[in-house]
Amino acid sequence: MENLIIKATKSSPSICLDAQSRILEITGESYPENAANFYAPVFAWIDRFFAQTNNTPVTVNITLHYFNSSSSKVLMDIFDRLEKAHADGTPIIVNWRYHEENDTAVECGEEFKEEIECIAFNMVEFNDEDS
Amino acid sequence: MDLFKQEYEIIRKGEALLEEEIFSDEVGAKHYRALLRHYRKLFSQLRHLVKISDIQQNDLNHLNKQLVRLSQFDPLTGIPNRRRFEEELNREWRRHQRLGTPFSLIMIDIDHFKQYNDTYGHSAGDDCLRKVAQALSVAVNRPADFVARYGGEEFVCVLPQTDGQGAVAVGQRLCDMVSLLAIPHAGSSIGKYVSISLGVATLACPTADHAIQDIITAADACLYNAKESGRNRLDSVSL
Repeated sequence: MENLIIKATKSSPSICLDAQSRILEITGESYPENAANFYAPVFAWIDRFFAQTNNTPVTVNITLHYFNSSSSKVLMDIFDRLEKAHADGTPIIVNWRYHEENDTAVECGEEFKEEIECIAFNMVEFNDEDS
Repeated sequence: MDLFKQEYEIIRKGEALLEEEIFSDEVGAKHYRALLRHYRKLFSQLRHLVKISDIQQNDLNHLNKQLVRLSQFDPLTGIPNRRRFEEELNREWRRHQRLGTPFSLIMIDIDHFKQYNDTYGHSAGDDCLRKVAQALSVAVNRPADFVARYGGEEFVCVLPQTDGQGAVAVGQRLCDMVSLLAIPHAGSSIGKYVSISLGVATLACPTADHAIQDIITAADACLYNAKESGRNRLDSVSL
């Protein structure tokens, strides 16, 4: 299966969905003009990926410094799909990565974590030296 | 108080209906159960989305306030900067044109500041600017009066609803406050300590025909006169 790579822009994050390493990454800032359009290929890829997946674990790394409300809804929907895949037998770990000084990212991460029922959702702090 | 009380009530009622087993056929009940589950999920998402949106909004508000502060205050001295001065000045000026009440403005300049920097260095010069700015700000105490950094070693004081006599009194107080600081100034040809020169301009009865620039120009001319006639003094004019 092909990987999905989208380069970051000022208002949209970089997307790196790697079918071989089974690591899915969203990094940057997310306030695209049309979130539904921007994330449509991501949803399509995720659906194809989990339709043919085996039960090897998948890691999802999300590092978003800032995102708008539409992107929040997109993340909720992504997590929803991940939960279904997890329930169907693919172990999934989500790492919510945030800079140590970004309190907002921590608080938002906690909100997402509350919404998630069965997959592991880790809050992962990093600092300038790590990145 | 729960923002989503109404929505929660609807879900609760739906669940109560299921428990009462009002559905005669299991297919209908199954669909209803699935819909309710979906609704509950959406409801939960909505709660979190609203919360996340609030968190982000707070963050932006906070940043906005910071930007306003950065754009309106002089980072070195902490007093209003020229941009803020111009905004306030225009607002006050329009008000005075409507009311026709006296309006005064004072231009202030630190005497021989270049020599101060040459003698003590720029870091000491910055300290001197900070101290003078603070002293000037403390000296004007009516709520609408304010002092701003105009540029370099120049400051400006806006005195709404103040006549010539009142403005000269404030100007004298500004001079005294700076003298009280007693900042040594070995490079000055006029005294041992840092002093200021002031140009005070008053427009007794502003009308729509006057321009704010006239007052600024008049205050500038007075400041020039004060400098020419020996510094550490005040010159004033009423228009």
